[in-house]
Amino acid sequence: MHRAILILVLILPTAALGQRIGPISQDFGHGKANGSVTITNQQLTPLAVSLSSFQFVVKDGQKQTITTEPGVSVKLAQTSLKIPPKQSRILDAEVICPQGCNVEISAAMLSPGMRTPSGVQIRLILGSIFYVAPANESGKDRRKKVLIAGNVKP
Amino acid sequence: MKKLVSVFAMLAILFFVAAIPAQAQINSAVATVPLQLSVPEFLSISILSGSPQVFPSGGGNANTPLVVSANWNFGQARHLSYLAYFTSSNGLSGTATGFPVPTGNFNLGSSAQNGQIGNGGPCGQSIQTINNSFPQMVTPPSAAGNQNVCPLIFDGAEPSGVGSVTSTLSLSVNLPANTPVDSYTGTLSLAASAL
Repeated sequence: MHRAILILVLILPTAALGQRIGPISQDFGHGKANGSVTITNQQLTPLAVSLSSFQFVVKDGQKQTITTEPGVSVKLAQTSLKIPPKQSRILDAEVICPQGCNVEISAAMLSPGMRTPSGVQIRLILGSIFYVAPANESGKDRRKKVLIAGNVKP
Repeated sequence: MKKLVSVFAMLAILFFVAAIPAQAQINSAVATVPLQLSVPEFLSISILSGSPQVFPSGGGNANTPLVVSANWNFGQARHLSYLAYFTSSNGLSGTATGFPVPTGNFNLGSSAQNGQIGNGGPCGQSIQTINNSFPQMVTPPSAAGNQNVCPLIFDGAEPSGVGSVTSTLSLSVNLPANTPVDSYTGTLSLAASAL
């Protein structure tokens, strides 16, 4: 019992280093997405976040990153931000792809506390996905359709 | 006399109270409002251990045990990818060895046991299950500025609901004797996303 309490006490101060992202994915239709991603800093120190995006396809049961196709535009309201301790920030993002696309908004988080004296640092990366249907389709069940087409259980 | 008056007063009160017509209770129709509660889905990574201690020195070999946890709250089954990889931006001539897994506690369900590690990735390792330990020897590039990537890909899991996976990562850095400590830089990245 005492050992369990001791372990809990040791873990609790550091468990707050976790970072969180949501929603996990969103469906959009008609070749355009106006969405937002919420990033939460659960630690007790400010968090620097670097944001990027990449396009991917789901093929043969795997997610495969591809170079951005012509006609695909991704606009992030910010590409870097600093989140105060125990707070969240909402990032707006716009994706335009008339032919339909899958875009992951990737948030790379570097915590100042997670760097060793020798220079090794820890980087946490979390992604939020925008599934965008072509211009002539609605976004209903877009994720499901993409996963089924990619041989992934939806 | 006073007693008689008080008795009459009480009788009068009872008379008036009894004279008040009884009102029928009217019940309104029961209104029902659908209550919708949605818990937003999220995915998070937590470092459960403290700052890793890596002290590579000339000819040294340092290990970095790091306990990390990926946590999720999914409203539906999702295809989860969880990666850990080490990158080095300077041209070390030594080797870095990553020992990502052994797994701690999994509550992913049986379908999650078919994760794979670096399917033909930069480390050239073959697909293995997540339950295997897989020492990976990585030779950093000789040219400065290149990345030395050795991924752990925990992929193919399809968890739903609330869950977590805790892993102990151990990064072993082995440097040649003539490499000064201050020339070493590297990043251990932990990445998670779900389809």
